[in-house]
Amino acid sequence: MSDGTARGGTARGGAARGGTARGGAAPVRAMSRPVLVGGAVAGCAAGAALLTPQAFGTWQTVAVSLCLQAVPFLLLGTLLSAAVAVFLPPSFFRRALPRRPALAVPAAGASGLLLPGCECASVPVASALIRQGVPQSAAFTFLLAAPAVNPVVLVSTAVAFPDTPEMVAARLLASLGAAILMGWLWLFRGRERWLTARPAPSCAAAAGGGAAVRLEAFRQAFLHDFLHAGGYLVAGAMAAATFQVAVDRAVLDTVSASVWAAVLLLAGLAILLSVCSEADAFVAASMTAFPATAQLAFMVVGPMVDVKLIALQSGTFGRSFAVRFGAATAVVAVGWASAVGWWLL
Amino acid sequence: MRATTRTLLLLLAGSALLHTTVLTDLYLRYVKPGLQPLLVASAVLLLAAGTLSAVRDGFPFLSRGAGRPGPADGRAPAVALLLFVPVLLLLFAPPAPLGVYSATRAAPQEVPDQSPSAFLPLPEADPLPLSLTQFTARVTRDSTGAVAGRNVRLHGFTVPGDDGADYLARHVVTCCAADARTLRVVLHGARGLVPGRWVEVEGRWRPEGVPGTSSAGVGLDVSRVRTVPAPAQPYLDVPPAGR
Repeated sequence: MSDGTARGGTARGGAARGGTARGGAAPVRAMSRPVLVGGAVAGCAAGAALLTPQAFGTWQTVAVSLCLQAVPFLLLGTLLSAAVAVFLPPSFFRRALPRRPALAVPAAGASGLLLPGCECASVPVASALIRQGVPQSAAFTFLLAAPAVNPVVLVSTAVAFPDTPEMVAARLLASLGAAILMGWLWLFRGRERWLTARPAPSCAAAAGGGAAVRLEAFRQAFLHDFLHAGGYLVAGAMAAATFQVAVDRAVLDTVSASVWAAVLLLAGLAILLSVCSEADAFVAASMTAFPATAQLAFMVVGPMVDVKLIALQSGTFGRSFAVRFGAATAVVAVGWASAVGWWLL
Repeated sequence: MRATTRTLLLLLAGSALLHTTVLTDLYLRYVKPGLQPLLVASAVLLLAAGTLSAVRDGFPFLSRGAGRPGPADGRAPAVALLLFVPVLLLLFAPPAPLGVYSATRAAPQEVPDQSPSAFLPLPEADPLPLSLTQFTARVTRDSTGAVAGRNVRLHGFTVPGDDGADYLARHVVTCCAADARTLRVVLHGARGLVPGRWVEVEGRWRPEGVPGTSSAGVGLDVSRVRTVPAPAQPYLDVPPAGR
């Protein structure tokens, strides 16, 4: 009896799976993602609420701070992204970037030097670049490089480490190098099918329209991108706030292990705490018990991979991309930062 | 999310930003003061987008045909509903600034970033007002030991330590409250302090360890404690104003 039911169940499961292989895949994913995000958020909130009222209060302050700090940059990024999508002809980037993607990657990395943006702004812009036909590898290099090596970040690093000016050079080299390596890695190993999120509606339709059509398309694209990314930002901020409340930083100063352990510890901390890239140099400098290479790893990993960014990226590019790309970026960034730190610091 | 709900969210978000930056100083609990112009610009943009949406897509419950399924364009993804959480918190239950809880859990003593050569002779004032950053730097970085024996006045909030000692603490923020670092000074011989209360403390550095090195204990032999109102900028570590 159990045999029959089991086989029936398997057969049904198999049929269902077969059925979803093409047409049904998108609805299933569309269903599961909000459920997953909602579950994570509920988990974070419940975990924080179980703590003392003081801890819950701190959780709220940190979560609201992260959102408030990010909102202007997210608005800027989504405005830029919508403008790029609706008003710039695709040929613009084809002419501006080197034709071969392998060369476009370092060019995109270098362009990150010029744009003072926060990581929250670079995610929607990178997504718009891809929609406009920029090679994915170049867009992802820009995504990683722009928040990590822009002038504001480099200056704040110099201010935070007044006694070790070589830290600025090390940060620039390590961040730019890791971003370019990731671009090349995507070029040779990346798979388009990992990018699952759908583009914002109506941009393509507006391409040939008049001014009124384009303006309306711009409004819709901007609102869609901002609200979508904003929702993921809140989820990411809540997760980061949970880790901030959970991690007792007093423990960190008692850890006096090997350099490798220190590097991995601070890299992991950078991922969990999600400190904004303009401020992370000050946080790194305050962790005086750690070797300089570990502080460098904290500053290189943080702007490229953290809880808040993974949430934003899974909203914009899809979960299967965000997980793979985040893991690979963390490994490349830690390895490259260690090499640069060993050489320069 | 319906297009009309989207209108409501945009208008509420814009109002929340305006409320925290222009009508009150609440934003100083969460982010650096320099972000104010950007937040005001964001508020204006969101209110403009919300007004345009109200005209084009309608307003919940008020607009005729508000419930009708509009074009797919006007619908925002469901995840955007999460934005209501910080928006409503800011409008109706703004979280308190960081305080005792995060101060007790921060790393014990973080030396501020200051070049050892940057120390000028101390002014002659008695008591000498110092920020916690200045006091900590004088104790742990200034090898001339100029602060030894001086009667100083510090401003911060009180924190009970795990070891039974009392501390005077301040949070310092670079960008937003998520990157806060904590400065703490041990208060020796202070009695009956209420945790989290803002105070001005007078006293002399308790000689412990070698001044100008990390062995020097950042502590004060307290002679006087006065309760003061909480400052408008909780994360701005400045010397107490003279009386």
